[in-house]
Amino acid sequence: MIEKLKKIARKDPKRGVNLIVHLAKPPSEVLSLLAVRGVKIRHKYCLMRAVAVEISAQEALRLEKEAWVTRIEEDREVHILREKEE
Amino acid sequence: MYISPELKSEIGEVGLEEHIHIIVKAVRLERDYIAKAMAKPLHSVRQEIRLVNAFSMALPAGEVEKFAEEPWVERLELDKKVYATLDTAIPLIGVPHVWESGFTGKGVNIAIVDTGVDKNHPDLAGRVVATRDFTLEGFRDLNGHGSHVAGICAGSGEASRGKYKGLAPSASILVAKALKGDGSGRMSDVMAGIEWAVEMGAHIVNLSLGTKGPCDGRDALSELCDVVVGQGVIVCVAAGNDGPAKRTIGSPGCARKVITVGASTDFDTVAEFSSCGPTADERLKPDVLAPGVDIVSSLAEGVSVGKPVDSYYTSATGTSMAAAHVGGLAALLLEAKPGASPLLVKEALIRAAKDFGIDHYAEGAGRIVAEEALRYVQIHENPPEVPEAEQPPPGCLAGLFHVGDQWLRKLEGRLRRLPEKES
Repeated sequence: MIEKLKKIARKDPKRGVNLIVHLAKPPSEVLSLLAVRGVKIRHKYCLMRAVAVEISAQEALRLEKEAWVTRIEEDREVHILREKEE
Repeated sequence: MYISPELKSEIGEVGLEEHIHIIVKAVRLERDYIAKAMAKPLHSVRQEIRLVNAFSMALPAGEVEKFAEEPWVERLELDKKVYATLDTAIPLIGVPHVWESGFTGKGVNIAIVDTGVDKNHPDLAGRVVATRDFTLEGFRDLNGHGSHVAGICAGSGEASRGKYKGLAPSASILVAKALKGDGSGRMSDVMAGIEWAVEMGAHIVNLSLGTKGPCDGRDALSELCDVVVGQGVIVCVAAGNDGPAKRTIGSPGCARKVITVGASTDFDTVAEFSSCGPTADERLKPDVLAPGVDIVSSLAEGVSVGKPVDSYYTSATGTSMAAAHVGGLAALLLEAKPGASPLLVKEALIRAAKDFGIDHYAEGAGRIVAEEALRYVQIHENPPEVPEAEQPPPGCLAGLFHVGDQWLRKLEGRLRRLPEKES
């Protein structure tokens, strides 16, 4: 994921990416830290320490280095699993 | 030379260049005839039916009459589409026996995290107890997938006088719309939908969705599914439609604790499209199979989806449909044994499954058998959870929990003997 982000950031540092950020602390404790970075929080989860965010590629690379971030992953697309008709 | 009236009528209705599926009855079935049939550029032979000297093929409608003039052709018939409807899939897996025992899913909440549900459909009306839209597109099911899945899990069959009744017709339905009208969405929205459903009291979460495989179960969506199962909620997930290639199960089908469901046909074979294991970290998936080919269920109003049967029902194919069968059956098992843990239900489905005797990375434990699964939950207590540290290493049957279980050891031994094939 980091390599992919670096590639995007090299081309267009301000390009928005959707990520799931895994945290070392409960989401409520890091909301202000995320807000100052201009991160748009799409969802914060109660059952696991994670938030879904929209963020620039450049900022995502900085965020990943924070001690309170355990890892980041791409907020991937999911699809229905119905076969297309013939 | 004979062309059946149905075939003649079909030829009249379609364009001359449109392909039409026919059954060719030959005087004798000889290789030469099939070779001749295939020699034409737009002709394709699909199946040989040797017992009756016949084969099925597709060819342009405008060429059928000329083809019928071949001296070895006795008659041509329309190869009509047959449907493995809910009224056939449900008896196949033994659900009527469970209904006869008095279990219809009463008191059980099934969450459909999908494209939304048409809550005014006669089969679903009055059954949807809570809804929430996570797509910002509005709650309406603009795709039809979610309504079809909900009908399989819990449709009442009202609009068909019970013919297309779902597995758990008395269950309540929670609907989280996490996928848009085009059938896609983000993992994060699905995760938010799952959390909402759990908060609303879901006993079962049906996820007829997924990412492309392979995956190792360490992504956020899989992780959340495992957390939810740990809290006592059963999570049923479609394996994916990228089979028969190996390692094609995506997230959250690769999650350790969920019940991952591949698709079987009406003839008890694995559907060709059904995704196969192992997971990226070498675990066995799918867990079980359920019917998933040409399943007739609820058609949402105002959408065009699948092959419509009438204004209330449509036929659709996929592991989405298969997962919904397991979601519905899980509701029946929970009503039969309130307090049954997700682990007991998963174990019951696995133990009771009909093993086709083929590659377990394609069939898991086999096709679900409802009445046997019911018997299993009725006579067994909840098994103890196996701590993470004691779970089998990759390559073993991790996720099936009973490390000391003889049946699993036997299955594991069999798996180890299977050649590792990459597709």
